[in-house]
Amino acid sequence: MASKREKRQRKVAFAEEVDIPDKKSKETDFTHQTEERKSRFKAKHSLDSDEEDDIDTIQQSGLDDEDLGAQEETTIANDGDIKLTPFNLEEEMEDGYFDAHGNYYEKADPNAIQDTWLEGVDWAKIEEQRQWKEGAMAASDKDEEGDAEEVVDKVAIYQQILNILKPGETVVKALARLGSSRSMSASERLKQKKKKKSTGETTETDKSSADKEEERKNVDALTGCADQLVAIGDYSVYEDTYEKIKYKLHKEEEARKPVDMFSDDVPSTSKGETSSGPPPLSDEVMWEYRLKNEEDEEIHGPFSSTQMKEWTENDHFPEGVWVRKANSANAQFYSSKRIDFDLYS
Amino acid sequence: MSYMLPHLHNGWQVDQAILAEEERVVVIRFGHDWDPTCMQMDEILYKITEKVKNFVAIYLVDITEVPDFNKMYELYDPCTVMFFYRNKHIMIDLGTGNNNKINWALDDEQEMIDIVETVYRGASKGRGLVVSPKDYSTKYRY
Repeated sequence: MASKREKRQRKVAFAEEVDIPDKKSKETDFTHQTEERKSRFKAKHSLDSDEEDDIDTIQQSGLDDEDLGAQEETTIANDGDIKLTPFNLEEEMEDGYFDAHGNYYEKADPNAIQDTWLEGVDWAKIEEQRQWKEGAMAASDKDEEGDAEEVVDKVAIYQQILNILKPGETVVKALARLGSSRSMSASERLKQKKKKKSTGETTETDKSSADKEEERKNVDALTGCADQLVAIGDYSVYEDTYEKIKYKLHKEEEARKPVDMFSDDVPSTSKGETSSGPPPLSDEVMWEYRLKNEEDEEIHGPFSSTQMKEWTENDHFPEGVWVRKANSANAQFYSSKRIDFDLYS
Repeated sequence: MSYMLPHLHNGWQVDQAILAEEERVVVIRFGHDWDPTCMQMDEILYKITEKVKNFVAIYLVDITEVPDFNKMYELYDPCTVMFFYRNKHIMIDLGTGNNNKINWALDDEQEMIDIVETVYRGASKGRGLVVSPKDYSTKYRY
């Protein structure tokens, strides 16, 4: 007993002693922290959140075994069937730590699954979706090929459907036509089989089976196409007549052209807005030039960027001329030597 | 006019601003709002913002508040304007010898528009260095 009390007293005394250097260590910790920050930015400018830093410093100034106070040593793991938990914090110290204020923090396991539902998420699919959405939103993106492909597909699908449909027919009717003849031929198959047995006539059945094969292919293609269109969002496709699909195809083809043009157009239209004049109709920036940078000098042009590029490349203007974008009245002229016309064509 | 333009308050924001912009040129003015040179430049930047918003994003960074880039980008001038496109620093031949940045205040809106347009056109065609339409070397400035 006496030894235990002594131990306790020692503990208390030690805790008091510890108090002063602890503060100091905190201070040093702080300077250490700022130093570390500085050096981190010197090394690279990666800018992670500061959270990790804080955890580190807390960990350093956290309580150690001594501070935790009276702890029982681990004795036996179990008494018969009963599991014994020793009266100490060894296990807790393994899984986490106490900060200077005595708050317990569990060590975060970076590999641990925080949200079980996230396990079932297909990240590749999400990325795909995101890209698709972006592509849809920014149809102007030249690099975005997914969008363009989709449009191409649509046109191809419509054309395929038109090949199968008869004028005035809807997709449903066409399916019924192809399907019914197929089922009829299926019922005929028995008859023909019998016929074949009795007459030994082979050529005609071969021919009809080839027809059937083609019809089945057509049905498959038609349902496939319709399915794809429904997936894209064209829900009424089954009720669409031949004429309507033809119209849609036409519209799709029309729509495709401006989309492509638009993608190239974005910089030039936005540029058109920047210059005081109206946006140029053509993709190319038009230029006007004068031989000397003087007010009363005659202005030539407008000429296209391609033309200007050609001239500058062929040393048409050995002295260089003064150029500015056409339709930008009052804008200043720049030396053609500094303009890379390639960028504007 | 600096209060009209978006400020970035820490290094992370600056990084994100540069990284997140995929289609536009990011123009960052490093300096101080109270600096006369910056005031002049901010005025120009503010005026062009609306006109170039389709292809340029403009941000201001206080180099005292965010000193993270001072060393890397050598931000020792009162006012520095730099261009980024898809997380890449776009250099620009201004005739001054320093192709990394504009470290003075422009006084003409249209000049700035022409510069950012050149940067945008060049950068979107994969150029890392573009030539500014105007030569800003001293022999033309005075």
